Amino acid sequence: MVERRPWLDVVTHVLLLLSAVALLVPVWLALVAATQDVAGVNSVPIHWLPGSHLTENLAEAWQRGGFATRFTTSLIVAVGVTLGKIVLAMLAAFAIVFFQWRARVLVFWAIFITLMLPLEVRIVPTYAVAANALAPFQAILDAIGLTALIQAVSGIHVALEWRLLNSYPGLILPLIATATGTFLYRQFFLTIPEELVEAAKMDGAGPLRFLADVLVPLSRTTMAALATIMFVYAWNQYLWPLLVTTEPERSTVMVELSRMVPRGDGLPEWNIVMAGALLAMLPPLAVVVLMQRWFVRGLVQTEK
Amino acid sequence: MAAIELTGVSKLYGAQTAVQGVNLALPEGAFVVILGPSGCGKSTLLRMIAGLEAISAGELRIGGTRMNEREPKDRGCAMVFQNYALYPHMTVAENIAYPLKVAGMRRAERQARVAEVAAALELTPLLQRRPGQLSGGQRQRVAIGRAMVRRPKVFLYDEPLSNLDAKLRVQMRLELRRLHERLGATSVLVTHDQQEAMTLADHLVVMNAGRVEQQGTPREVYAGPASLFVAGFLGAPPMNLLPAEVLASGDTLRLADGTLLRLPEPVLHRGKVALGIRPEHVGGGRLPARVEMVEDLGASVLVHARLQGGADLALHCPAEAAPARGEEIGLDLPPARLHLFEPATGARLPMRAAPARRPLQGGLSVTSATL
Repeated sequence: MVERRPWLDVVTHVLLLLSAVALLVPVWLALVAATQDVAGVNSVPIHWLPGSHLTENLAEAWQRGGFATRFTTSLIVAVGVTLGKIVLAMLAAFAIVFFQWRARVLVFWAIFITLMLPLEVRIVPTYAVAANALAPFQAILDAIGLTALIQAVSGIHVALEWRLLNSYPGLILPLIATATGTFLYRQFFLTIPEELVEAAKMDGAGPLRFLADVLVPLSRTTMAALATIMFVYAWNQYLWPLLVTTEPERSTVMVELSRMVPRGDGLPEWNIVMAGALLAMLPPLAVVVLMQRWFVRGLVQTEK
Repeated sequence: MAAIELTGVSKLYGAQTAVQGVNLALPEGAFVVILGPSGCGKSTLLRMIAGLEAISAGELRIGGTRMNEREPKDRGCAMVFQNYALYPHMTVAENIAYPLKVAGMRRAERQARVAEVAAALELTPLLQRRPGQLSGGQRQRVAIGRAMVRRPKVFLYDEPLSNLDAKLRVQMRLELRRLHERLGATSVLVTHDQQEAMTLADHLVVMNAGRVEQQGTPREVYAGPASLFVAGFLGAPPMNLLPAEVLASGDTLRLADGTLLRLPEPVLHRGKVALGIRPEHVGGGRLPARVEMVEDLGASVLVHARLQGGADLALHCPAEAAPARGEEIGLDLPPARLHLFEPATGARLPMRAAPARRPLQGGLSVTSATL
């Protein structure tokens, strides 16, 4: 649709400009704050132009936050979540689109409904599971009386336990399920012509072979789009890592950043905090910049 | 021996019947064309042979072995799809080699086979291109190459020419036929284009509403359509069909305007019939008609005339002796060229003058009766 109304153009541009400013001003303020010394960052009125202490603030933030290990943890978690989400979303969509089975519609709607249940809503049960991932099975064994039976027969008390707290699986696994990714993949799979599926069948390719040889190569752009969104999402996670990493040594960049915020009588070193924030912003920024071309193509899907 | 044998094959979608009790014995090495209007179940039948659709009832045998439960890859069939269904991310060479790769053939052997197929289809210069960079005809050839490379006993074509432009279609038709002669495999092609069917087929199967209406050599089917449907479907322009009545004597027909026609042989049927005659068999004579339209076909002209009594009649005239529009002309319906059909059931009414079924030639005209 092409609209030819000059005043509409002006209004849209003004709107876009305002949104851009609203988004960029905080970033600019953070950048300015990161270049001041303690006195400069706390002066009233605030400075709008950068000072000269950027490198020393960055170095101080990096050192104080132990960012070398924090970044490693965050990167492992973000990459793990991204890969896990892509694989899981692809397999789920594959099952929903290309197979005829009885519970298909039910499962599809179940996945759909999880959109309404983000991690924040189910955080308590999720934490309980993370504390002992085998607790549900223990409950089942207890309920059907198997625990009592085994104890009576052998004298061994069955107590299943798999603690996920302070571990990478604990940080990664609860974040992996993704309805958004499944939908993105489902939409892509629905554009694959039926004849292509049948041609692969005639050529003797089984379902997994078809997935690996045809669907994966064709879905590269979808994968890139999903990877971009999900990397940023995983990197920015705060609540879950905060809960699941009880030892400070295991925390992620975001958790560490919040610890750096001055509290109570502490020296209000906002310049250091902002320098830390700038550092924490870099990896997602790099991913978005690098993947931008693929990202847009993956969402628009003009290829093919 | 029949290459493909179908016995009472049916396909049900819920309560709907797509294919109903089809009995066919398709001869080995023949080019079989299944012809019918869209929705007649011809594609479903082909897909059941390929193994892409489950068979609801009946039995399918390929090369004498029951195939109902076999996977598509184990049936020894290769298929060429209407939209070619090439893998868009693979080069031409990779596309052709894919069935061999899946089958686990060694790389060197695979490359040799691909080179051989590519040479046969004149695809060698295109091997490194992707399907998106090819024209329709080239894509078609790649699809055929992918089917050929496994050296199947049966080739299945699902409307392979319908996406090509008219000129290319004629050219590809010849190529398909030549390829068939060279490979010596059994080919089964599904189409709704009666010209394609007539020119390609050794054995023609006409389907309508999920049933086989008639089968035989194209000549047999054309010269002696077994039903009103086949008469109207085969031939371009189609056979003229006029309302008529068989008089009590059984050997005389009365047309709508009262004209009496003598039949070469009496028929048992009395009362209303549908009288069929092909446009090329209408001659000059005493039956008055008025020319309504003249279509120049180049080699001849097609005249649309209206008989007294209102019936339309199309006929071929030599281009040099074309009548003008509005002209009154005299026509003749040669008795030996007439076909009679029962109007209610559409079944052909037997007349001796219609070409009798000749003895089977070379095992090609196998009918359901021989099952």
